[in-house]
Formats: sequence, C-alpha cells, structure tokens
Amino acid sequence: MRVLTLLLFLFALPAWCQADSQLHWVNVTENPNPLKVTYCKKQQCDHVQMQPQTVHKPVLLDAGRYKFTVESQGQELDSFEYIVGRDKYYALLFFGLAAQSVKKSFLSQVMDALGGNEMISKARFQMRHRMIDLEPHSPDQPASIRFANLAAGSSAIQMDIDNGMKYKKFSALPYMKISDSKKMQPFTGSYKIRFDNAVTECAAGKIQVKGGENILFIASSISINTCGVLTVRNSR
Amino acid sequence: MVGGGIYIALGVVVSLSGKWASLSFLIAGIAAAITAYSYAKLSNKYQSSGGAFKFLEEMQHESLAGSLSWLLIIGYTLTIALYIFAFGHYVAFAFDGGDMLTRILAIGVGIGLTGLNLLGLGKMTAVEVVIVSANLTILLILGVFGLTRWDSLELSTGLEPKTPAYALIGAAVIFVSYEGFQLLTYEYEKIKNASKSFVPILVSAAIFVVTTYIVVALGATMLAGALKAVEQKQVALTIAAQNAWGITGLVILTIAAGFATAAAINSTLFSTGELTFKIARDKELPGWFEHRNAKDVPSRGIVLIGLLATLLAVTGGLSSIVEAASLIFLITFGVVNWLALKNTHTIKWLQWVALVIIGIIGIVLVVRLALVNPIPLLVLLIMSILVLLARPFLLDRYR
Repeated sequence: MRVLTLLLFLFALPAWCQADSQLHWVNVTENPNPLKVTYCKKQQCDHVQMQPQTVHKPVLLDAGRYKFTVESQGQELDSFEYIVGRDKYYALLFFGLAAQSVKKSFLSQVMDALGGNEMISKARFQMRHRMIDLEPHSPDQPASIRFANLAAGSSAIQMDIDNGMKYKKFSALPYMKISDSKKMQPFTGSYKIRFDNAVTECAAGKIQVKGGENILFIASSISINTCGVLTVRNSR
Repeated sequence: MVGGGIYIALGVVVSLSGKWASLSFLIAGIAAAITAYSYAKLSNKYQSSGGAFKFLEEMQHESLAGSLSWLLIIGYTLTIALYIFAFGHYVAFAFDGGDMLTRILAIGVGIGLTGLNLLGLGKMTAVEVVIVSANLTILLILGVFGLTRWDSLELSTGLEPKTPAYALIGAAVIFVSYEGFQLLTYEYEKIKNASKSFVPILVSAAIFVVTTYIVVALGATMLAGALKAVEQKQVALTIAAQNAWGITGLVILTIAAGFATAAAINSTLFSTGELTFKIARDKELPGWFEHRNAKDVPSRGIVLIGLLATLLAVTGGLSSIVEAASLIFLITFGVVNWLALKNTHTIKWLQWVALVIIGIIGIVLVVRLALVNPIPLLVLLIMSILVLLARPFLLDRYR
C-alpha cells in the first residue's frame, strides 16, 4: 500500500510542481503608438508596455488561465484568454493594424470559432494575436528556425538562410502564416528575405545561431522594396 | 480499422476543439459505432458483400446506389491521399527533410503501392495483421504512458480556452478517421458464420477503435502539449513519442507511422479497386473499369485511384483533404443508418441517435467549409452535381 501511495505521488508530482512558464512578447502591429497589454490571472494583474516593431523582454507566469487586455492610447483594442502551462516557453505575437478596437461581427465570431487555429477572417488585417511555442532545446542539439510573414498588406514573402555551406529555403508564405521549423547545426551565416519571385531581396543580414536555439524570423513590415525583420529567439 | 487516421487527426482536432479533443473522438465515435451496427445488420439481411452500394441495389434503388458508389470512390480516394500525406510527413520529419523530401516520399509510396497492388500484393492479410497489431500496441503504450503523466493543463496549454461545443467542430472534421470498419463489409461473404458473428465483430471492433483513439488523444496530448500538437499537427504523434522517449520514441513512432499508413494505403486501394470492379460489373461505372490484369487485379480502377490520390496528397492541404473526406463519409454513414432504420429489425433509437449526431456535425462541417475553406466544398459540390447529372449520360455512352 505504501509503495502504491508513493507511486501515485510520483506520477502526480509534475502536476503539483509550479514551474513558471516564460512568455515573450512581440509587437509587429502597424501602429505608431505603444501597446499596453494587461494580463490577469483571477484578480492578480500586471502589464507590459510594448513599443511598435519590438520584441519585449520575457515575463515569468505561473500556470493557469490568463485574460489579456490590449490597449493603445487608453483605448481598449482587444481582449482574449490563453491557458498557460507549467514550465513552458511561449511567444505571444501581435500583428495587423492596431488602429481601432477589434469589434467582431457575429459572422466574424462564427468564422473564428469554426476556423480554429487557421482562421481566415474577412477582417484579416485587424489586429490579431497568436501564441507560439518557443521552447529551446539542449545546446548539443540543432537549432530550430521558423519564418513568419506578419507584415500586414504584404504579398507572399520567402526567406533563404545561408550557413556558409548550403542554403535552407523557406517557401513563400502569405500574410499570417508561419512556416514549419527547420533544424540547423550551429553556424554563422546570413539570411535574405524577398517577395515571392522577386529577384532582389527586401531585407538581408548576418546571423549567428547557437545549438538548441529556437528562433523565429518575422517579416514584420513592408515599405517600398524593403522589409522590416525581427527575430525572437530563445536558448538554454 | 486502426490504420492511418489517428496519425493525422490528432493535431487537427486539438487545434479545433482544444481540451475537448477526446470528446470530439467520442461524439464521432458514437455515430461510427452505431453505423457499424447498421452496416452489420444490413449485411446480414442481404447476405452479401458490397456495403452501401449493395444495400441500395438490393432495395431496387439502382440509381441512388450508383450515385452513392461514385461518391464513396471519391471518399476513398481522398482517404488514400490522406494516408499518403501522413506517410510523407512522418517519414520526412524523421530525416529532417523539407517539402521536397515529403513530396518525393509521398509520390514514392503512392506509386509504389499502386504497383504492388497491380502485382496482386494488395491483399496481404498476414502482413497486415502483424502491422496493425504492432501499430496498435505502440499507440496504446504511447497513450497509456501519456495518461500516467496526467496534467489537465496540458490539454490546452498555449491555446485559447474553448467550451465543450467546440468538440462538435472537431468531431465533424476528423470523422474520416472512422471510415475503416466499413471496408470489412466488402469481405462479408468470406467471413465464417457471418450472420451470427458479424454484428458482434463489427460493433466491438468499432468500440475498441473509439476507445483507442480517446486514450491516444488524451495521452499523446499530455506528452506533446496542446500547442506543439497544433503547431506540428502533421506529425503530432511523433512529437509526443519524442517528448516521452527521446530519439528512441521518434524512431519507433516513425516506423509505426510509416508501416501503418502504408498498410492503410495498400488495403484501401485494394478494396476500392475491387469496389470499382463490382460497381462496373453491375453497370454503374463505365465498362472500362471491368477489367482484370494477368494477376486477376482490377488494374484500371487501382491505377486511376492510386495516381489521383498521390496527386491530391502532394498538392492539397491537410485540412482540405480531411474535411472533404469527412463530409463524404458523413453522407454515406447517414444514408446507411437511414436504410437500417427503415429496412431492418434493429434498436431504432440507436439509429436516430446516429442520424442526429451526423446531421448536427454535418451541418457544422458544411458551414465551416463554406465560411473558412470554400474551395474543397465547391469541388465536392461540382463533383456531386456531376455524379448526379453526368453519370447517366456517361453510363449510356461508355457502358
């Protein structure tokens, strides 16, 4: 009986552990003003202030159900909830046009409900949010690299990574899409981002990747012939 | 019956139903298990292999039988495409391959197994029993191991909370994962003492599959975490196995997925080929399909379906294929329950329960497709109109 109790205790132990989760914040909305995001678990609230086109430093959250309220210049733009697990690593992405409150029509709500994770709303350029996994791996493992097109109003965008020996190509992604991750051994190299089928790149840069890193490249904005690029990365 | 369905269904259903994914499997499973009972009762009544097509034909509804059989062939083609898709993704993931390797593997397995069928190796009962048993064991170990790590938060971590009503959307979308048992009705005449044993065999098998899917859905989500299952929905079970047992888990699950999906492609292709032959013999498909090669294989149907499914798998998206196939099987299962209700001495309220579930989730699926993913719905609609209107013309011309 004691052995059984001990076994049950050991199996249930992970559920009792209150390891915090790490939440990164990314604001790539088209809005000249900062976003204020208040996050509340039951009655306990805190907030972050995010400048446009930035990655905010991560915060630690204990497990549970959180309500997030997004404001800009005192005006509430959106509110929603997410479940935060134990010992997880997330990035919460804000994108789209954050100029006015996200008022959803009944049809839009039905579409979001039926669409699940792959919602395609008529109001697709309104401000949106998406939680992604950003768990790093052990440093002796390859890095995971993904690419997202969150530049509102853009056509499809593609990315190539050159690790000095060969190219890894990310297929052209339409707005709001995030690629599958590609595994890469540590390297120092470069990336090039271009509009689908364009000859010249709209953004390019150097990159150093460590073992086990989890990296998301984001095409975050567009203007004539240039793309804004942000990276969110996490490592152990 | 536990073939390739669960490999692609898990991530899809978690993305739609969140922590209610297992309820989705239960709702769809109740309808599927009752439909298994209806299939068995109808098979007993008419004492013949051939499934829904044969039942309608026996009831003198030849035209409806013909239309439904065409629709079913489209459904099976989509299902084979789904298994090819799953094979490509699971195997490519293990080799860290990109889109190109995934497509090459999908084309390879599609064409390879079509060729194997043409050589008369479509029905490898003993090999299939070994593969299905091994697959089932691995899935159950994974599911039960996941359950020992129970933490209810894992069912929806990283996702927006959802109400139980979302389970209906998940149930509608993954309905295709329960299509497998009806292939057994095509083997009715080969089963010993079928009139006594077929009902318990088919119903108990359906209930076992539903239970397995629920255990795997709960256990694998526990191991992968809901957000990862959604983000990597094409390979959600590999992620679960990898999180549980590291590289060993990845290898074992990849082997299981590879063999299970390949066996499912092989057997579905074989059964669909035989079905096209039977339907052509009954003059409900053009006579061109009523042809067997030197190995006594209905080669033309198999080649056409195999190539079409391969093409769909490398060009179509996961959601589009899953949902279009689910809609076809919802229609078919609805028809079979209605036929059983009207033509057999069964427990009538059971069929009503199935019809209500199928009706509700069918409407949910049509609305979802119309609003979110209209192209597969449009294609299915055009195909259905063609089946209804062009079929008599084609049959007159090419019979």
